[in-house]
Amino acid sequence: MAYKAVRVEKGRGGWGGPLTIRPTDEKNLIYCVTGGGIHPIAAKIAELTGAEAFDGFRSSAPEKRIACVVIDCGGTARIGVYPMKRIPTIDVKQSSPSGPLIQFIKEDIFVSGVKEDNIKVIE
Amino acid sequence: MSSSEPLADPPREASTREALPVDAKYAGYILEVGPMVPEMLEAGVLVLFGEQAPAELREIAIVHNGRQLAEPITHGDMLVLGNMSCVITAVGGMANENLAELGHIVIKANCASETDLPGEISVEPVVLRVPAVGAELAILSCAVASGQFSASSSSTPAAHTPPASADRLASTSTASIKQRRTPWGFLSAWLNSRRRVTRSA
Repeated sequence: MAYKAVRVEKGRGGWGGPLTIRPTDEKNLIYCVTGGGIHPIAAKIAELTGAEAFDGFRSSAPEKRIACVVIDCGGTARIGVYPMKRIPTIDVKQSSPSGPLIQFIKEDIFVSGVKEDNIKVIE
Repeated sequence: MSSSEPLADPPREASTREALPVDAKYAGYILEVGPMVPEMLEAGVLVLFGEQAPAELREIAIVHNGRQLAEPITHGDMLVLGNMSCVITAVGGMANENLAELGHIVIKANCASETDLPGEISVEPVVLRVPAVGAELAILSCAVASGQFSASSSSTPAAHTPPASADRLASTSTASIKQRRTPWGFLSAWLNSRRRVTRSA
């Protein structure tokens, strides 16, 4: 299947990015690790790319299948774990790098404050 | 301040190992301690997640089987984690939502009156310790933690009426939080009563 790529920019008050999310046959999960099921931002990225939105709190998937992860982190755990694993990380909260894993949170792997308007298909 | 409201129903799922103690806002047992927990502890935090957490998060977290937040936690409440107990001095803006939905708490022992980050709770400086698998996790309301609710009545659901002073307690400063630290005797009585309830259930 041919997937489309999206560019994800930081939203107002956000930090980092922009990230290019380009799902492949192997990495075709938009991995959502937020409260309350699939977050609208994860659904939007899945819709635009053709990849599959996936709820990390309901089922498990190997890391190598993750195209990007969508989080709503309070600044300590999720904000650092996924950048540490070099998985592109999209925080819907307006977080800046913080927490014990701060050294892993870089602009090339993390973007925050993201709203639907900040996600554009790359033609 | 909502501590005068009756506590919520017990967990819905029959498979829950034990009923929520009627006098705790949140309770569970430690299931796993991730390999990176000591590193997080060195950085000054303990990260807890509920048992639905994905593998990546379990690496840095203490995983527990708590499920239901009976009422929002607030400063002045008491946190019990294994043989560590401490007073919660501040609750971040996302902490209750995280706990209710994901069983997620970040504990920082900095005795702050405001948390540094929205996901955190601050606790009175104790030496944070990594709990053992099987240890208890509980958050007690400030009315319970201040010893005004008898531990021996914990088998009668919602029978207690928290004292009118609960509102006052909720707005007290850090200094007065220290003055009303829970006596160790009360705490051990509470834990013992919980164990009795658990065994007889």
